[in-house]
Amino acid sequence: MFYDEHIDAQGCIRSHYQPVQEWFDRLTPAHLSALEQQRNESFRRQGITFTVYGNSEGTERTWPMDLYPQIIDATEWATIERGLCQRVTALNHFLDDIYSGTQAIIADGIIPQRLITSCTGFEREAMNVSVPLGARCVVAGIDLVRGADGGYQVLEDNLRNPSGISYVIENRAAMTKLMPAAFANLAVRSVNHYGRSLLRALRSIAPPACGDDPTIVVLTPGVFNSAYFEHAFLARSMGVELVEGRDLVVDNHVVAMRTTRGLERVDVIYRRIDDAFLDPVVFNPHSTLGVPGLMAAARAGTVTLANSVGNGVGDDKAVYAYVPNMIRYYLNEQPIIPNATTYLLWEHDQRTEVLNRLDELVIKPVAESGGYGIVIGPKASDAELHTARQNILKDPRNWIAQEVVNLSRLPAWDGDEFAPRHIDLRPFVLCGEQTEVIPGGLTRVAMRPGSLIVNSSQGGGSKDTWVLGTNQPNQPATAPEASPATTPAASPATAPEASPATPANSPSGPANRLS
Amino acid sequence: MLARHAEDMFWAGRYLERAEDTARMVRATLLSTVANTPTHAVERMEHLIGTLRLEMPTSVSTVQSMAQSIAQAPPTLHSQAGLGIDVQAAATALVASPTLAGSVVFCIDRARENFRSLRDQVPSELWEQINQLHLRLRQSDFTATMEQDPFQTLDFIRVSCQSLTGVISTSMAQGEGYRFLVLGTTLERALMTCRLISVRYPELDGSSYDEMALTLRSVSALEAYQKASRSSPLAADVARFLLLNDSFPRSVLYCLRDCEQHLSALAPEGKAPPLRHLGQLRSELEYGDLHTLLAGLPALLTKIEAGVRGVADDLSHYFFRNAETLDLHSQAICPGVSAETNIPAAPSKKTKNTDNPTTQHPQP
Repeated sequence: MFYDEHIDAQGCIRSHYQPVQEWFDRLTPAHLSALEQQRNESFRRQGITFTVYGNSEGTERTWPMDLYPQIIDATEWATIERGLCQRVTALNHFLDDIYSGTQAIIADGIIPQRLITSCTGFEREAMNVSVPLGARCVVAGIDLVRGADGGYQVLEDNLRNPSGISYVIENRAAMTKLMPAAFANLAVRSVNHYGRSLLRALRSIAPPACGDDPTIVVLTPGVFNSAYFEHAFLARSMGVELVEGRDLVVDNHVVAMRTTRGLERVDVIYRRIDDAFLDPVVFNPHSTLGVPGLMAAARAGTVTLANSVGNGVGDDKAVYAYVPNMIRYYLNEQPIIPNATTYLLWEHDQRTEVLNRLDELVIKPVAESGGYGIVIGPKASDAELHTARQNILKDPRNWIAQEVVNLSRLPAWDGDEFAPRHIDLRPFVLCGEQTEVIPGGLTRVAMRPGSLIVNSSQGGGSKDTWVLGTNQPNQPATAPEASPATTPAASPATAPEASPATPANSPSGPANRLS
Repeated sequence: MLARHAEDMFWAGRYLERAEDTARMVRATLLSTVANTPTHAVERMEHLIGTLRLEMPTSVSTVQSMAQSIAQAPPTLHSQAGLGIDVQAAATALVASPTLAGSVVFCIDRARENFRSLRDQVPSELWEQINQLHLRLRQSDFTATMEQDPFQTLDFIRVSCQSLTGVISTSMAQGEGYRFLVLGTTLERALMTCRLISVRYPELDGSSYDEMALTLRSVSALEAYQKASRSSPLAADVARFLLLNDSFPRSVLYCLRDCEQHLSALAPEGKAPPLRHLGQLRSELEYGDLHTLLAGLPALLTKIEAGVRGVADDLSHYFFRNAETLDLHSQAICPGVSAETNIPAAPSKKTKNTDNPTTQHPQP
């Protein structure tokens, strides 16, 4: 049983999909493949690609974007928005409580201590490193899915270095160019302000001592990283420097970048390097990507790292199970968006049940991301199930089990026709002085029929996500020329043309003149 | 701006210019061989290779040639250059070989790599343009296209490079980064014109129009020269034009002036070493006695070439490497323990030999 995003139980197109559906209905397959070709060429020219590791033939692929957008109406989005703000606010409270607070949540018995201390993402090096405003997670990506009942559930939190926002914006840019007419009258909410919003959030967490014009940089592992395109995109859209580890030095707990005029102080680092490679002094000593002394500088409070070190403790999949309780505990509210049903395998009773139903459940390693290591019970071979069972028995803390969520479906073009494919949604949440959800997010789609794996590293594609504005006409636009009744009957019935038929430059006019 | 970014800008500029100049020179050379004897053709191709200061790999002879050997190299040339030279094959290699350091494809590749690490610094339009050119040059049929239709291919490359230059001058903020990019371009341009004169000057003695035209066309200077000089062409005249003309943008003097202007904007403190050296070089050229200059032309050209390379070295030392790696052991890595904070200003250990952009830029 699946929820269909664009068709209701009666088999009718849902009203918020109607205009777009009509637009697609008018296209011939030839039109569509022309659009696809245009799209690929444009992505290729712009170098919008992503890298697939461990793939021998050409590791750079152009970004796969399906033309059929996901559309979310204003009311539904309002709920999602509130739910995400609530969740990320609670998670930030939690991270700050663990690292620079009193660990009240443990003392009050809401989360067992051993669960925290056994997290691979728990960094002792981050203990008592405080962050202005407690904004330990400035950028969060929360993966949402819609189950068979049509309700949204949170599948995963990404609080470390969630990537994908540049693709959200590039998808939109491509769609606007490819099918401007499809947007007509829909008041699709813009996503282009992301860079400005991120900049504002980062400015708000600058060390207080640095005054009101902090220097902000984006720290990237370099051009060979799979997300380099995104790092450059973010630096460009914020108008800040894109630095590598070798561009930074720490001198007496002050971080500076090497410029053509000597060293220049840096106040906030939006780092896109994993914790383990950030500072060879305290983490992986072989890392050449990082900056020696960076953690000491953060501890001294001369620089703010975003997202903070040690956020992995908040998106550990076992800790995830406790997020609804965190929301009740820190905010005294009921969770607006529920978790997917999750079983904790170190609890004896739950483990026993899971082992009995292994072929019906999804088994996930707690600290991985990108869809690696997941075993989907109903589709797994006996051997895979056997390995999963052994793994669970060997280290139950390392795994969780979830009921299979039958992701909702939306049409995607498979080369011949539009066919239903499973999708999920990763919206992005920014926390600084205020918490902001970017309207939309990255819709990921499993391009293989029936597949539930949407990760781009595993052959998934993407879709543009349209959040409709509140002042929606919400009626299918039947007659575009609703205004003056005096329109001459002879005018063509197609879309109104903006350009009046001006005569060509009069040949008698003087040469070389511009108005 | 970041020192690393400044360096990438400079090299992106050099590679771009080298690619365009190479395409221009290959075109002029091929054009001159069309109606010429085989011996001449080979000789001219050798001059070109000399101008580009390239070591042609032996694989040149293996490059497939559609137009079967216009010229067979006589044995003497064989031993001199180590080439089983086939003019067409050499031209194709100079343009399309991805492995020949200094070929057009190679330079565009490098320029793109530099721009890639500058994606937050340069306009998207610029990135798209270079990426598109790169993709075209790396298409599997490019070598064949170059062999079948060299002139059109070379014109395409020139026009593409020029449109890149257009994007740079019309849609890029003319700040520090722009200046480093232009510095790279103009220094490279000065160097190429300089080398062209030194390789071609001895050939001009016979003062045949053909030799003259080839020389001038190699830097797109034929028309400008014809406008500027009414007398029938003399070797000294051509050399003077390419060296000292103050309105033709590829003359050595013009390039050096351009560089000087950008450098003085970059180093507001005034007497920065690269600016001082460049200024000395330029004024020697500008205010030197014409007859003395032309009389000692080979030595002068060697001096200018060395001078330009020196300026590039200075740039590297003064702007790109000004911050040394800190000694970790001298650093306090615990809060509260203070340490000396000044950065040692020791000279760079890595001295870059900037002779040829094709071999020196560290591969990422």
